[in-house]
Amino acid sequence: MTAKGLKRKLPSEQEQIGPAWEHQRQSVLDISIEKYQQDLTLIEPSLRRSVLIANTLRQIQSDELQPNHNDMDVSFVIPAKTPPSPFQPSILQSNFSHQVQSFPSVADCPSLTEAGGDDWMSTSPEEEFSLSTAISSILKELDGEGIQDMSQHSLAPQRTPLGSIENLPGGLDSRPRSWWAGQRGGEERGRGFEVLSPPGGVGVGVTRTTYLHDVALDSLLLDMDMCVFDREVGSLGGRAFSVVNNEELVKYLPPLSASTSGVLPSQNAKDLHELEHIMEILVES
Amino acid sequence: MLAWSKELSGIFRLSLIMQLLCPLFAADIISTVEFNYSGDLLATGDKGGRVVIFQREQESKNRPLSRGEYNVYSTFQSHEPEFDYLKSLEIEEKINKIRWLPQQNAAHFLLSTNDKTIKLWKISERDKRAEGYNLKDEDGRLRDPFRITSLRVPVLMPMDLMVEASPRRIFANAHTYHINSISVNSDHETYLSADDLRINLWHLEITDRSFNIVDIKPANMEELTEVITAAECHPHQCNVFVYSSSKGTIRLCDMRAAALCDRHSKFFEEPEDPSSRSFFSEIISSISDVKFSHSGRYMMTRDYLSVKVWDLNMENRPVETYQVHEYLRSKLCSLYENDCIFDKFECCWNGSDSAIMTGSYNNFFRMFDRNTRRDITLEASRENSKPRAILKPRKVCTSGKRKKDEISVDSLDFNKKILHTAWHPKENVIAVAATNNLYIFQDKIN
Repeated sequence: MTAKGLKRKLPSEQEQIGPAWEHQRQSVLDISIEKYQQDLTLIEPSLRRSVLIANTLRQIQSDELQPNHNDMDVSFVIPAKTPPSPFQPSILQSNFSHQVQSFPSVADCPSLTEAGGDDWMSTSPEEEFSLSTAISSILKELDGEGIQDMSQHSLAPQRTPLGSIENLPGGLDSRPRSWWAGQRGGEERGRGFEVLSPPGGVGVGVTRTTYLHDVALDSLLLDMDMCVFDREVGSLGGRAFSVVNNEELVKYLPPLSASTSGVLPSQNAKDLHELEHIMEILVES
Repeated sequence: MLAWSKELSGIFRLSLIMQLLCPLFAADIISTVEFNYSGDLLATGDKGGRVVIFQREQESKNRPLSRGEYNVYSTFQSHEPEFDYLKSLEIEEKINKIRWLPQQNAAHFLLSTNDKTIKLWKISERDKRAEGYNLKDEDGRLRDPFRITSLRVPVLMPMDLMVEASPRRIFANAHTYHINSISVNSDHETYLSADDLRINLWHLEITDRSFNIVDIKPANMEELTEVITAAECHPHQCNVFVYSSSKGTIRLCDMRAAALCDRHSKFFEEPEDPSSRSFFSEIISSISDVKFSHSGRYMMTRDYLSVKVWDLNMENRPVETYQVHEYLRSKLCSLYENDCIFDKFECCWNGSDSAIMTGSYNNFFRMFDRNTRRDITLEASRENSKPRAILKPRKVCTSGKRKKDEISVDSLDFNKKILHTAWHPKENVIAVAATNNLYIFQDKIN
């Protein structure tokens, strides 16, 4: 007897959430980031537009928080209150640029913790965020407002430290403050968030060890974190380096300190030279 | 009353097209259109800070065909580009809104605003001039007083009509953010102005002070998630106004309740349909325009894909929803990419509140009859219409098979957007701004 026709089932919502959804999410994320960055280059972007883009970005990242996309009834709580940046830039042309800086923290970047087994990946996003914000704030102060390299600067607030590091080598070719902004030219590096949340949902930034030059970066982060502490103290001026607990830094850096091979000495020296130059600037200001 | 014939295509005849300025210049993009209270005057503002006022021709036996045509009445430069030295940024001269004041004497008054400054303009006619002065000649030269041997009384003589526009009040320095709305109150003494985060109440006579009545700026700007997108005074109750937000909500406030109307009296929001949730749900819910009906019982809101009519007595959902271009819902990602999703479309009521109109892309605009629930799509285009020809309804093809005369979604021109439309307060005359062309359509059903 021939099998009777089976009733076709409508694909469940869970099945519908698949690569197509993920693909759209990724493209919306990419577009949103690009717009965000474009707006940062404007002196006075439309506030409504900026708010809508920021909310969309926030929503995308909060969607990541909920692996069970099947639950369509979940009201997507978009946290209105973002953790304030511990380092408020003193001068901001657009009030709303605060929003820019605090944005990454809302995400909590759980995707970074999903697949990665490394300990350092479980760093509190606020700490990661505060580091990158501190860096960007410092640089903003150095440059003042209305800087010509706003486009490169704008990437800084949106990156976790790992994102910053991974772009470091490429950025070193240009001016010091555009370290982590080197992505503009590098296709292989990709853009900030793209790197952090690729389709796999893993914080790929760290696993791209080809970009990591350990020794140089160790010292770099060491110094940068000192500046973080300085800002916390409240002094925006002279940067007296305080002693930093290396263990705290280690949790940012395990893969860096682990591998010591594969570093070209010439590249290393060049990096060191650049880093010294940068640190001079930071110290002197 | 709008008479809808059986064939929707016979409703409107194109009676007049006005082309304002050369399309090559961006400054000539029309940014606002507004009829005055009688409908005899139609004001337009453009991106270059200019205001052009059209006047309707009166009936004339000599030129019967031109009855009801609108011709240029006055042109003046309302706003100039300015530079904010403190913030080091340029303030655009683009006219965001024009609102007429009710006419109280022979002169006409209107408010025009750019991003930062509102100006009250007086438009007056001069059709007589005095002749026979004692102290000066006809050409203006002063006469030698010692040569005057007799006195005469100057006489008013007719002259060619001259329309003068003069700024009577300048309301400046009250808005940190960009002004998106102005609205004259029904008391004819006050008006409100709204920017992204604040709403101020002004007295028309007082320029150095305004009252802040709504302030949604958070203490910490990082917490900002919502901005004000439009505001309007109630047409009859001078204590009531509404403002809409980028999150798709409308708040009605009563100025009698408190000096600062941060707490609303009514909160209008439609619950979201979970099945249609997408990444763009919030962006497309952002309200771009809010308009009270003439009766004051309803208000209409325009979001990206639809127009909703709300009963002021029911806050939890609109009473009517009209889809403007639902076929764009599947294209939202592309529209987000090319920024079209941020376009702010306006909407308007007809004089009797029985029909509503709003714009779309490809120079299409849509009209909805609230009673019959019928709708029509028309195109404002010189190529497809001849003067005095009946407008042909348009249709966008959403499915694969495209019928004759239909346009597929992919061939829509998203650069041709109709953001600004206006409806005559009493008659079936509409003004449609298509980039830098102004179209005026009249219903010639006789």
